[in-house]
Amino acid sequence: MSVAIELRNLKQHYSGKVDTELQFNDWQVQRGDKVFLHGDSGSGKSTLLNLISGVLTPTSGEISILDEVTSALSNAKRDNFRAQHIGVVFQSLNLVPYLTVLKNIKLARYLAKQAQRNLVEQAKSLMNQLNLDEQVLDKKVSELSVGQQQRIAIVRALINQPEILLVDEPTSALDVSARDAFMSLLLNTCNENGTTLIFVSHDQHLKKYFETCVDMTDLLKKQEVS
Amino acid sequence: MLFSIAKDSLLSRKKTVFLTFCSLVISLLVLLSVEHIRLQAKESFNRTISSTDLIVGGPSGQLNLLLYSVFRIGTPTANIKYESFQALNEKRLVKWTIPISLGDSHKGFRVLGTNSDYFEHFRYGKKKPLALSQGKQLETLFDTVIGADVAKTLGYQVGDQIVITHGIGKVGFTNHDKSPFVIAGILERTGTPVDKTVHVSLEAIEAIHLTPAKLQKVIADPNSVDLTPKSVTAVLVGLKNKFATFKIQRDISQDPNDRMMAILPGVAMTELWSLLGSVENILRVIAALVLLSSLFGLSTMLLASMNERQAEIAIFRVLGAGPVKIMLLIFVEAILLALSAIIFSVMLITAILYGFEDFLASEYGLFISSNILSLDVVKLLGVVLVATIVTALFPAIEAYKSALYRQLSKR
Repeated sequence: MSVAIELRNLKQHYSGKVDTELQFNDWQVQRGDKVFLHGDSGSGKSTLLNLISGVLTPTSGEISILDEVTSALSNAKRDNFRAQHIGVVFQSLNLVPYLTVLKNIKLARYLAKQAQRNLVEQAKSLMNQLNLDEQVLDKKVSELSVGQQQRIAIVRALINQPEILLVDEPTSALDVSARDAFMSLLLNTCNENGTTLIFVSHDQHLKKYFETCVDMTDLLKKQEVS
Repeated sequence: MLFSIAKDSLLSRKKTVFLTFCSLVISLLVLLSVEHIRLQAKESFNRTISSTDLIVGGPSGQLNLLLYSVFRIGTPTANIKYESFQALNEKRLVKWTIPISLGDSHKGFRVLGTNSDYFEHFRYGKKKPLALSQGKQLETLFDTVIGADVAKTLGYQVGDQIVITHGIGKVGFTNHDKSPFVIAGILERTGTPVDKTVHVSLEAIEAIHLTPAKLQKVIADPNSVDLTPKSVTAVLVGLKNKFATFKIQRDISQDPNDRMMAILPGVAMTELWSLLGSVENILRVIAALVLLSSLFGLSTMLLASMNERQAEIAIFRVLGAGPVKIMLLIFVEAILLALSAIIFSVMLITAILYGFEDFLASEYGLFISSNILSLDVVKLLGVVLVATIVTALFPAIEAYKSALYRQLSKR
């Protein structure tokens, strides 16, 4: 099994009222792994996600995604790499509210610079895996329930068949029964598509769905304030 | 794709977008109509008369003479003697003359008494002669040749009988209904006041002003009464040598036998146009300022929406859109809005002009084409689009910056 994500000597420096620096321990995630990343807010989870997805560039150190050192790529190339290889889902506001569901999905395909061919069929098959009615494709995002929106966000994140899916607190807007249904659908879909999953949450109850659990505090070296 | 997203994005903010659209349309209407009417007025103005070196008429103002002899606006104040016209015709340096006798009307269209020289020598536009689309020129006493608009508006055909009234209102003072004129010919459209004119012979003008008894005699036998005109309203003169223009002009104004004045049409036209010109420039400046303020409105609208669009920008970033693409989206939105405002206002103006074309022409002698897309107007619209892009720079740069520093989750 090859490596999906690798961090080496990663440091991220923040300047502000108080200068802070996050130092990450070296870390590897194998392809196809499903990792539960636990951490309280402010623990550096978001920074890590931003670094992995390439929205942030690290102050020093290296990030390799799928054997490509993304931290060394130009901004435009990194944006393009993200579009093609990484899907991201947040706790809310994942979809452009004024577009239809189909257009949201098309947008992802367009920004990844891939052909729109077979898009609808692929979207429909993902929607079937996630228990979504095909009818919602033509609806405006604002007409959907939160649960539906989150599942559409998964469809949209997976439409370009990314090798890696980053998920940040996707269930916090869902009630418990919807949450359990969502979790099993998400994991099944990732299994079927062979996707590497990084699932970030502060909710310890969700641990049970995962074999690998990592605590944010284990990932960070002792924080130094300079 | 970007285009379709921009469209949906604008549609999702219907109220503000609609108001901005209205403001753009209104300012474009002002700008386009000022520009179009200016160009059209100038063109229609300059094509009205060509090749004529002098216009001779009774003493009044230069503009007055020009207005009634060429544009058929206003009323002639003084006539000149028919003998003066004949003398003018015999001058050595004069190549041709066209006598004009005005003062009567037919259903609101001016009647112009003249002779066959009119059809031979009159020129408009780029030295274009008049041409008949149907029928023949004036041959007998009661023949008339009508302009294209007269024929179209009143639905006349060659051979129809018409009545000429005295005076120039739509209802004349006296209906000369005992003088049955016949339409002998219809002229091709010229886009000048000729289209709105009913042409008759000078003798016919004399005839309709005879007493009813005499008129009956003339109808019975055209040669029984002497119909030599006593006066004409004005004379258009073409010279053999342009250098003689000022000499002839001086001779005419100093003629001991008649009180006359002669004007140079080019000079008088320039004077008339310069009167309109300063108004025109003020209007253009105002129109440009109105448009500028609308464009700032557009830019303000987009800038104000940037705040509520932070989440949207984050989504675009997640999906791999670079800051440049997000900036482009803002540009596309601005251009889309400006372009639809341009298309809508062009259509609206075309429709309005189409509706008022005849009214403007008959009431003001303005021939405004309803086809507004002349080269100058298209160039102007290009300038508007460039101005849109420049003003859209503000929100676009804002979007760029916001996209650059935007992180995935908001914390």
